[in-house]
Amino acid sequence: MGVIETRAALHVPAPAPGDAGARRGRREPVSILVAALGGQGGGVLTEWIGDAARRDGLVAQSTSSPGVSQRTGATTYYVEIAHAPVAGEPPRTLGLLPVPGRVDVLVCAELVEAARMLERGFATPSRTTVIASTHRVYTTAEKSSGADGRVDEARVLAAIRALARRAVLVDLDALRIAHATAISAPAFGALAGSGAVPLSRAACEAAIRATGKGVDGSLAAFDAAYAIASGDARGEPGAKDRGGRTPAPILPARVDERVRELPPGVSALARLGAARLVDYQDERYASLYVDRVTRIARLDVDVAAAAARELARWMGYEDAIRVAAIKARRARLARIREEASAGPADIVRVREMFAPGADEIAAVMPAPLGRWIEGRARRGGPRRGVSVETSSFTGALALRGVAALRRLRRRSLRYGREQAAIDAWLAALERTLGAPGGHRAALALATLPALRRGYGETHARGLARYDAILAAFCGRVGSDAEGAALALERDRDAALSLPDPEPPVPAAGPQPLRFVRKA
Amino acid sequence: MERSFAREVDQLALGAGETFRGEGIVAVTKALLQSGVAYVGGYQGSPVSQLLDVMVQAGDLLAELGVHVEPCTNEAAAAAMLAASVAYPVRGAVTWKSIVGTNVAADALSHVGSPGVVGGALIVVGEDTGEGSSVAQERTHAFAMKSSFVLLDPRPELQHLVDTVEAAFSLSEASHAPVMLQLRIRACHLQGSFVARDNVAPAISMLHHAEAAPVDIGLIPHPPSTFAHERLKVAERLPAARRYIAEHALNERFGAEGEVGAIVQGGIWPNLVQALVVAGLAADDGTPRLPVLVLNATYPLVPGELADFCRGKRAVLVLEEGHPGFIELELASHLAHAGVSCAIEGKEAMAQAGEYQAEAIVGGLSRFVAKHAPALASGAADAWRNEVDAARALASELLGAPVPARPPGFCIGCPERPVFSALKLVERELGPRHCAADVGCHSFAMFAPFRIGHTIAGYGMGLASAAAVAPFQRQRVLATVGDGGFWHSGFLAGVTAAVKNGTDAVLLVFKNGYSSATGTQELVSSPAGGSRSDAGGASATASDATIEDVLAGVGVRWRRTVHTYDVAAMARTLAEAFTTDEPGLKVVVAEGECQLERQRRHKPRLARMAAAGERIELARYGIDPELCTGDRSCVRLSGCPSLTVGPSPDPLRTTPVTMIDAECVGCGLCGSLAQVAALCPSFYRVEVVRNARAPERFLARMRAWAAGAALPGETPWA
Repeated sequence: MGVIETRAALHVPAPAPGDAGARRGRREPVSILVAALGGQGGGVLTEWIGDAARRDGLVAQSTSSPGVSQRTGATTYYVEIAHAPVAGEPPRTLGLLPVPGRVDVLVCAELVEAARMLERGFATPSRTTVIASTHRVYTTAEKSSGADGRVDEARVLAAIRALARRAVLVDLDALRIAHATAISAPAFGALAGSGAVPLSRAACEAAIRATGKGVDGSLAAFDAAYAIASGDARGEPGAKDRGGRTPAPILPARVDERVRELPPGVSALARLGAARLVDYQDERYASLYVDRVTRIARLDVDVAAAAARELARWMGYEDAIRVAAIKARRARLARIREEASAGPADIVRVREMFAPGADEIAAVMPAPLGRWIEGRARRGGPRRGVSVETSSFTGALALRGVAALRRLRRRSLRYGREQAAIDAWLAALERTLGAPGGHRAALALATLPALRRGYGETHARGLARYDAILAAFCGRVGSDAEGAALALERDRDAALSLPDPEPPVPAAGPQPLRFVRKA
Repeated sequence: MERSFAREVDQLALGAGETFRGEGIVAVTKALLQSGVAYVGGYQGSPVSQLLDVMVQAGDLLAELGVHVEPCTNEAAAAAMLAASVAYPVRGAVTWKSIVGTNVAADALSHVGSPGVVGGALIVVGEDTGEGSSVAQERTHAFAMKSSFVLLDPRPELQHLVDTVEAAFSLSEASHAPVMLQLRIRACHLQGSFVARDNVAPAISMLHHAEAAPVDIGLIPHPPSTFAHERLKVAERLPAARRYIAEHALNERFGAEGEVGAIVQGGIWPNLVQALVVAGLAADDGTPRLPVLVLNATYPLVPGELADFCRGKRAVLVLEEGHPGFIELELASHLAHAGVSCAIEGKEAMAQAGEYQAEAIVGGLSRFVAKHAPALASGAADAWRNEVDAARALASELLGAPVPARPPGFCIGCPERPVFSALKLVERELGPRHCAADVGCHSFAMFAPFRIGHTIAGYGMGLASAAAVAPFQRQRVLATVGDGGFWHSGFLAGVTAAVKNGTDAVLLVFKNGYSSATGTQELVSSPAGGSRSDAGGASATASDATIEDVLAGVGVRWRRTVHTYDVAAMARTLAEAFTTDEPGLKVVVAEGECQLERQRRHKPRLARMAAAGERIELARYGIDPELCTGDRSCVRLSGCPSLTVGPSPDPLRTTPVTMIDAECVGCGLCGSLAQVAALCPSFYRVEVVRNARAPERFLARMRAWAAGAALPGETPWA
C-alpha cells in the first residue's frame, strides 16, 4: 500500500519519528503544506496538527482558503510549527502562506494535487518530504474525454521522486475506506510517521482522541499510515494493479483449433474475441470471426492483432438483444447485491434505465420490417424513459424474452448492415496492405472501428464520422499512404475524444424563432 | 442551516483569563462581545460568513447580553444598520465581503459617514482576493478615503486582532468616524489562540431600552447640514483619528535601525517576514535586519509618524497590496511637506497588482536593496530563486503537460446540475443563446462540462445585465439567478425592471432554499423548519412559494415551477420559454433543495433510524461495465463528481470505462439523462431496503426467487 524513498545522496539522516530534538536549535519554523480536495477533511488535519503541537509544548498556526472549495475544488492548508516563545520574548511571526522552496513537508491527499504543488515549486530536493496519496480522483477534464484523458500516473510518481528529499507514497484513500474514516486520519498518520515533523506519536493520538468523533476508525487509520511512513510496515505495493491476468477462456473444440493456428501475437486476443462471440451469438459466429482474423493474419501479424481486438467488439455490437442478455443474468444481480453491501436480510431491487427508441427497435427487427419502422421514426427530442425491474419476475422475463431474439439476429436489419460494413473494412485493410507503405496505414485503419460505439445519437454520429474518415482514407491511401494514415489518426482521435454534436447554428430572422414543433 | 457551530459558540462565552482557540473570524466575533456591542449585522460571504453564522447560533448567550443580531438581505441594509450609532451612543458592528459588498453598501455608507457616529461603529470587511477567489482586487481603501472612514489593516495574529477590534470602537468614538477593519481571507481562517476578556453587556440594548432621541437636523443630509459634515470630516474627525492612532501607537515598528527601511500594511506583515528570511534580510527568528513600520491603521496616515520613520533614511520600500498605491502617493506628499528627503520605492519595485505573497516581495526587496543598500545584499535571494526555478522546470519537464485545473463545481446530487444538463439538451435542438449569468453556485456552470454563461455583472444582476443584450440577440436571451441573488437584489433590479420595461427574456431562478455558496444561510423563502423535518430525505423547497408569489404579485404572467431532477420536464419547459409567443418576461423557477443541507439533515436521521432498527430505503446508481462504450456523453452532460472513470474489466478494451463511485447519493440525474437524452442503457438504479418487516421480506424473497428462476446463471465473459 505504500513505499518510502529516501534520496540516495541524503547527507542529513531523516530524523527519528517525533524527535523534536531534530529541530532543536533551528529557529525557523517547520512548514507543512497540505494539498487536498474540498471535503477531504483538510481542516480537521490542520486542527490535529495544532493540537498535537500544543501538547508537545510547541506552537502551531494554520491557515486555509476554503472559500467555495468545499465544492470539490482543489484547496490548500498551510501550517507552521515553532518553539513556544521564551518568557518575555515576543512570539515569532508565523507565515500564512507557503513559500516555494521553503516547504518542509508537503502532504497531498490525492496524486494529481501533488503534481499541482510540484508545478508551483512547493517541493525542492534539498528540503521537502513529500507525502502523497497514490489514489486518483479524476478531474472533469480527464473524465470528459471520450478516449483516455487521464494524467499519466507514472510521470507524476517520477516527478515526486525527483523533487522530494524523501517521498512517502501511500494509498491514503484505501486506508480511509478500510477504516471507515476521513482521509485526514491516514494523512495525519503518514505525516507523524514520516519523522519530518517534531510531533510525538502520543500527542498526535491524543489530538485525535480529543476530537471525540469516530475516534476508533481514525486511530486505526492513523496507526496503519504511521507504520507505513515510518518504515515499520510495507503494505502490499501495487494495490492498484489494473485487473490482472484473467485465465484464457475455453473455446469449442473446432474454434479452439483454428485459434491455435493463428500467429502467437494474434491468438491470445483472438481467443478472447472468439469466446466473446460464442457468448454473444453462437459457435458459427465465432468461427466467422476467426475466419476474418485469419484473412488479415496471413497478410500482416501486427495489423491482425489490432484488427482482432476491434473486430471482436464490432461483431459483438450492443443491440437491444445484447443489452438484455447482459442485464438478465443471475450473476449480475448477485454482483450488484454485493456492491451495495446488502446483508442477507436486506431487500435489493435493480431497475434498468432504458429509453428505447424506434431506431433500436428497428435494428433488431427482420430487415424489411426494420426498414419500415425506421422510415416512420421521429428523430431527436427528449425520450421517454422506461424502467424495467430486473429483480422482478416480469422484468426478468421481459429481458430474457428480448435476449432470446438472438436466434433471429442474423435476419435483423442491423446485422446485415454491420456485416456489410465489416466486409468493406476488411477489404479496405487488404487493399491497404497491398499498397506501398501499407503496413503503417493499415495499422491505423485497423483501429478506426473504435468510432462505431455508443447508443442512439452518439452511435449514429460515430457511424457518420467513421464513414467520412474511411472514405477520405480510401481516396488517399493509394497515392499517399503516410498522409492518409496521419489524417486518419488525427480525425479518429478528435472524434473519439469529443463525440458530441456541434450545436445547430440558428437561422437568421426576427425573434422569437420557433425551432420545435409545438406540443 | 443544518451546520452546527456549537464549538465556536462555546468559545464566545469564555471569560477573562481563559484561552480562546479557533479561527481569526471567530476571534473577531468574540472581540465584538468583549467590546460591548449592542447590535451586529451583515451579509454573508467568504471569508466573513462565520461571524454571522456563529452569532445566529449563539442565541442564548446574546439574549443574556442583550445583543441584537440581524442577518441582512444585502450589504446596503447592513450598512444602514449603523444609523443606530449615528443617533444613539451604542456600539455596533456590521460585516460583509469586500470589495463586492462594500460596493453594494456604498450609498448607505456615505449617508452614515457624513453625519458621523456617537457610538463606536465597526465595519468588518473580508477581503477575498487571490487564491481562486471570484472577487476583483479592488481596494476598500478607496472607500475609506472617499467617505473619510478609518481603515484598519491589522497584523494577523489573534491577540493583536482582538486588541485592534477593541481599540477600533474607542477610535470610532474618539473620532466620530466609522471604522473599517480589513481582514484578508487567510487571516479569517487563521487558527490560533488569545487570552479572553469578559464579555460586556451594552448599556442600551434589547434588555435596556432607550427613549427616542430628540430630532437633530444636523444629522440629516440636507443643506446646510451637509456642508457642516464635509468640514467636520476633514477638520475634526480625521485629525482626531490621527491623534488616537499616534497616541495609542496602533502602528508598530520592528527590526533594527538602518538607512533603508520598509513600510508595510499590517495584513501582509507575515508575508514580508517570510520574504526577509528568504532574502537573508532577517534573522532566523524572523527579526528584520532593517527597520520596518507596520501600518495597522492604513487610513488616515499620521504624517508625523511617517516623517519620523523616514527621516535620515536613504530610501523606504512601501509594500501596499492592490492598485492604485494610495499609501505610496500620500507618503510622498507628506514627506515633501515635512521636508524629509528620502527616496520612495513602491509600485516601481514591486508588482503593480496581484497578491503580495512572499515570492513577489522577494523580487521587490531584491531590486530595492540592490539599488539603495547594496551592502545588505547577499546571495540568498538569488540562490533561492535558482532553486525554485530549477524545481519548477524539472517538475514541468517530468510531468510533460500542465496539470489539469480543478475548479469548484456542483456537489454530488446538486439540484442545479440537472438544470444545466437540460439546458445543454435544449441547446442541441435550438442552438446556443446568450446567457447572462449571476453570482452563486450556479455560476460553476461556466466551467466544463457545461460552459454556460457569457457575463457576470454582479450579485443578483443576471437579468439586469441582459437588458441591453436582449434587444439585439437573434435568439431569446436567458438570465440566471439563485434564490440568494434573487432576494439580495435580483428581484428589484432584474424582475421588476423587466416587467416594467417588457423585456423579452427568460429568467431561470434556482430555488434551492438557501444562500448556499456562502454557507447555506437562511433566506426569506427558506423552507420552514417544520416542512424540512417532514421532507426527510426529499427536497423541502417545494413547500415555500414566496418567490412564485412575488413574481405573480409584480405581474410576471408566464411562470413555471419545475422540480430540477425532472430533466425531461425541465427541458420541455425551457424550450417552451425560449419559443413561446408570450411577450415580456418568462420565469422558470427551478426548484430543488440544496443537497448539502439535505444530506446534513438526512444522514444523521438515517443513522438514527438504522440504529433503532427502523425500515430505511437507500438508492444509488450503477453502470454495467460490459455495456459502457466509454464515449463519456454522460459525463459531459451531467458533470457529477461521482461519475468517474476506471480501468475496463474487459480485456478487449484499452480505454477506461465510466463508473459511479461510492459517494453517489442516488439523486438519479445520470439515470434520468441516460433516458431523456437516449445516452445508453448501461445505467441502473439499485434500491436497498434495510430492516424491512417479515412480511415485506418474505414477499421480496419470493420475488427474488421468481426473478432468479427466469434468469440464466452464466457470467457474460471470463
